[in-house]
Amino acid sequence: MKQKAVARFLAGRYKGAAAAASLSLLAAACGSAATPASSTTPSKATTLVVGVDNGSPTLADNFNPFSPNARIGTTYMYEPLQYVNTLNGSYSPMLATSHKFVNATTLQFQIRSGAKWSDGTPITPADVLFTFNLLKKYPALDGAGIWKHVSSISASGNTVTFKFSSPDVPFAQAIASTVILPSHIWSKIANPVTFTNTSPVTSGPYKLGTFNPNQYVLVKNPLCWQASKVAVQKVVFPAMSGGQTAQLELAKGQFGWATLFVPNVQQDWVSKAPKYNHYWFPPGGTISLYMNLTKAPFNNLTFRKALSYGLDRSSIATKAENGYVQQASQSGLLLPNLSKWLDPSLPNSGKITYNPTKAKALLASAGYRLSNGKLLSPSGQPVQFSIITPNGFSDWLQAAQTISQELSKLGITVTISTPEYAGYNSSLQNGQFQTALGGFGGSGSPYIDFHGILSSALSAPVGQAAPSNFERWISPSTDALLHKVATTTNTAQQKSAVYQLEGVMYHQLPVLTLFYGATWSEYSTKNFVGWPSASNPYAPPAPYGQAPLAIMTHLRPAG
Amino acid sequence: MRYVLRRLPVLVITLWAAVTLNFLLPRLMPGTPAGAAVAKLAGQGSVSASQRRAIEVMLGVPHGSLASQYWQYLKAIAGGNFGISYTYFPEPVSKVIGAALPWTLALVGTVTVMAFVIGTLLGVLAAWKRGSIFDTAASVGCTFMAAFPYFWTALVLLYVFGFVAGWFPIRGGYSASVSPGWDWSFFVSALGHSVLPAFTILVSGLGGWVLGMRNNMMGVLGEDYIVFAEANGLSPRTVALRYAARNALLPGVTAFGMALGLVVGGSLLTEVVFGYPGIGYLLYNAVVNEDYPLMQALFLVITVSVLMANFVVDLIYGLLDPRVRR
Repeated sequence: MKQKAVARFLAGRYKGAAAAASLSLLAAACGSAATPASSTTPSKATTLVVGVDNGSPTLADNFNPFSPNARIGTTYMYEPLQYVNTLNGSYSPMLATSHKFVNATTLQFQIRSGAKWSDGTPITPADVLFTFNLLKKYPALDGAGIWKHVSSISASGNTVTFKFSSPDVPFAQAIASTVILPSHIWSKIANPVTFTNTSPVTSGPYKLGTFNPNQYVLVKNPLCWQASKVAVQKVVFPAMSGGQTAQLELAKGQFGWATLFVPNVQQDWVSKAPKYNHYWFPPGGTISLYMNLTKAPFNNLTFRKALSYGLDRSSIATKAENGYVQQASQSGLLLPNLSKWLDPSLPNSGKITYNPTKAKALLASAGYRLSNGKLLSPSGQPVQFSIITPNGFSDWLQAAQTISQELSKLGITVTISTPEYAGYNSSLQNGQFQTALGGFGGSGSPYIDFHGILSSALSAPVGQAAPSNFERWISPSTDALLHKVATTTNTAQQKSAVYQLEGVMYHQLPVLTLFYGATWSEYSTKNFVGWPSASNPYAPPAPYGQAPLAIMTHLRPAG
Repeated sequence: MRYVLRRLPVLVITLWAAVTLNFLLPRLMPGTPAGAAVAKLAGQGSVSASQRRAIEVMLGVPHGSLASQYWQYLKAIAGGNFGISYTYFPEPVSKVIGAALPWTLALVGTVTVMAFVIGTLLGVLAAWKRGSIFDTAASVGCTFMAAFPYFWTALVLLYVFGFVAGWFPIRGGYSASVSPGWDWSFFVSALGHSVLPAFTILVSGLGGWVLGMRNNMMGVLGEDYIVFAEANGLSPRTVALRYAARNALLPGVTAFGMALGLVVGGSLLTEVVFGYPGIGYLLYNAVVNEDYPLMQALFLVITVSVLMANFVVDLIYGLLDPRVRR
């Protein structure tokens, strides 16, 4: 049960992101590197059973790709302009073959010609225009906030041009990830917000086969432009239920691919068929300690540094996540995913080594002193604060407890409170907390990750809701660095600014990164091989979000 | 008739209180219902301002003063309109509940009646043969069973008969190969899926009825009129059933009425363990996902059912026991 929280946390994110469009991607290698499936000899099983869609307890029939409650299989059926690999931010072609910035406010996509919808209608730039205009007309569908950045869109031949209202190069990711709808179907829909799209006309590798409230089956879409790369003929989604039942089903070998937290994956999954059963849990987000920088003592950099040295991050990671994840780098980058952006001058990849002696020395230098084992502030008050973490996130709770134990060695009293998620979220947004556990990052773009937690535009005064800069880091020089990355298309300039942002994270400690939240993925190579792995990270191994579009075109029959 | 009329105002006032509490409770929870909906729908990661706006627009998050919201709420429930579920968006709450209700009524309803009938009969028997081996076995066995946490029973049954032995399916209300409908294969599948959950509820519920009935009977058996009936030479059977059991049944009827009302609430933990598509699981999901419209409607349905069941029991009581009519 532990860890499930993070699974849920990240799964939830990606699901939201699927509707809203998330980011990032792997090199062009992606689409083309796959060995074409030898689909001529459907020798062994050609069906993949995926354990991912939560039935709660039965499935609602909803395949609207812009609905937050769409079935997960929806993402196997609709393609965006380009697929962005959230592990490293690389792009691969989907309905658009490429994109380029004419200048920092003009972005052009080349739309693929010759592609067809599953009903045989050609996919054209008009479908792209229709989709984006639909998002404009119905802001409820525009979860990615496209029309807050884009001022106009136009098409000429196979080129679709987006004009930005202000320079924002990294925003290309959100546009590229927007799935495209068939205008000949959706233009007839009276209310696309509540439309459930039960007979989807699709562009991607799959279309809907059968649906019943306990299970649905996707079948290969032979008209997909990349159908020749699709080896899995049928994808079956049984309704999942939470907790132990799903783990029993996994142990029984009922899934070929699943995304479950299991306390002992070696015993509960791998050992059942060591030859075929594998797992890969790459980092998908950074779990951090947010400190309210508007309040003492967290507004004091020396105090934050002392806290940072006083936390044994490696032990926190091991205890909270059963040893499945690593201590996070204080650079703020998700490593190793984004290692090409890592400033080589940061010692130990930005990972901070536990050093309570140094922590005590720093506290003493700032005027803190110990009295009867309790740390007193320069004004003589005992140092104590609370950590809030959402109720039910048992792994985060474990992390909070470990933090509390470790800081007690410095004489700091840390209490833990676990409000319901809604209460936690509102405290975080309104700045009514001292410290809190939270996650950020995982977009695949260092800019988007840093922008979320460091941009003053995403902060707000205490008492008003901040979108994501909950710790309230307000720094004109940081904003200037973010602006620099957003407005340049020059990689060297982007890199230099990103290095400086890492420096802000590492030296100024706006948040204390703790450990990486994992993307859970168990898969079997009995029938299919070609899964993403640490050595070939062409996509996160998640059976949700847009990763399946890349994965299902990479899988090939085993043997 | 006067008795019925006397009970009615009480019913109406309790109903109003329940409805009002139901309106207020979610609004007293930390965070706003809107915030919860936004958090839930945007996934549990950080919510961008644009996602938040998109979701608020989508759901039509409630605005206006508390009084006007209350008035809207009363009007809506009078018309049977419970709004749209956040969890199952864009399904209306009434449809979501309508889909789950038959499962719960069939499973929990049947098992509750079975538990009451079997339990009461066993209780009568145990009391009548008090001190016998049967009585000892029933009393000890039932105390033991009733003390068991029933979700634990459920987990053990699921593991042993579902996972290890593989005799029964481990989740769901019916298998994926059939579609709900009035046909034989669906019925067989649904029946097979209901065995383990039904057995769990029966095992956990039976003990209470047996013990309750046995203890009531014991009290009644000590009454003078029983001795008088025996002295008059009535057959033991007649004395046991017509005289003792009938009187001892009264508290049992009250409890049974309550139990029937609560049937609508489903058997939360059993349904969750077995992934059974009933009201209990729905309620669990509503709470976990902070789905206020669904939660409110479910609580309302459950409260109204319990109140109505109590009302009906009150009326039946009047028939069973003439004393209360005065």
